[in-house]
Amino acid sequence: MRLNPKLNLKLIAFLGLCYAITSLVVAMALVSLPGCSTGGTVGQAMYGESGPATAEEKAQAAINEARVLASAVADTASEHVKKGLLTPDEALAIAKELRGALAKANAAQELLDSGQSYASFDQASLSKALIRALERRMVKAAAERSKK
Amino acid sequence: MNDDMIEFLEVALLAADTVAKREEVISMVRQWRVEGKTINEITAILREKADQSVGNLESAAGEAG
Repeated sequence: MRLNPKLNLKLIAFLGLCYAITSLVVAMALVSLPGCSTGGTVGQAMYGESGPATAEEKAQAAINEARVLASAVADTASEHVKKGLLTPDEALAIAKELRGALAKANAAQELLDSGQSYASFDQASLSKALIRALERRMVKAAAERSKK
Repeated sequence: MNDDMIEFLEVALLAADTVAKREEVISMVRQWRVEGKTINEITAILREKADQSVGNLESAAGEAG
């Protein structure tokens, strides 16, 4: 059986496009998942590949993860506001919320320094959750603006 | 590609910006550990860096406004 050569080319091009889109989507999804990125976690960077072992180390890693995340979100937001993807008011609101989340990370550090590692971990986890929620809102706002 | 797919890719690309910046800092932390910095020293640097980044964001907002 012989197939039409033009049809064959179209089929190959279509399959190639499908493969490229699927690869991109999978790569993006993996990179967006915490812990699936190439650099590992803050805890692994601080304490080695096995990560933090004790309650104190876990709390300290969570505090520093919150700070790293806050720094990354703030730096990204700065770029977005310069590109016009965020308004100055939106950027100031993000900065205010980041200050609040960092205050929680600082409170977690005080708890850890006073020996309350479990309470410290909870406080640091709350700080991280606030920053992640803020990041999602920022990305959504920037994506909306990029369409206009 | 339909609109939903384009929107998904836009959001994924924008989210990847933050992931890349987080990874940059994690690489720096690894390097500091290799150089012999203590956990307390790294913690102090990260605290200062986070405050500085938020300060830069406030400045960028002020300049754009």
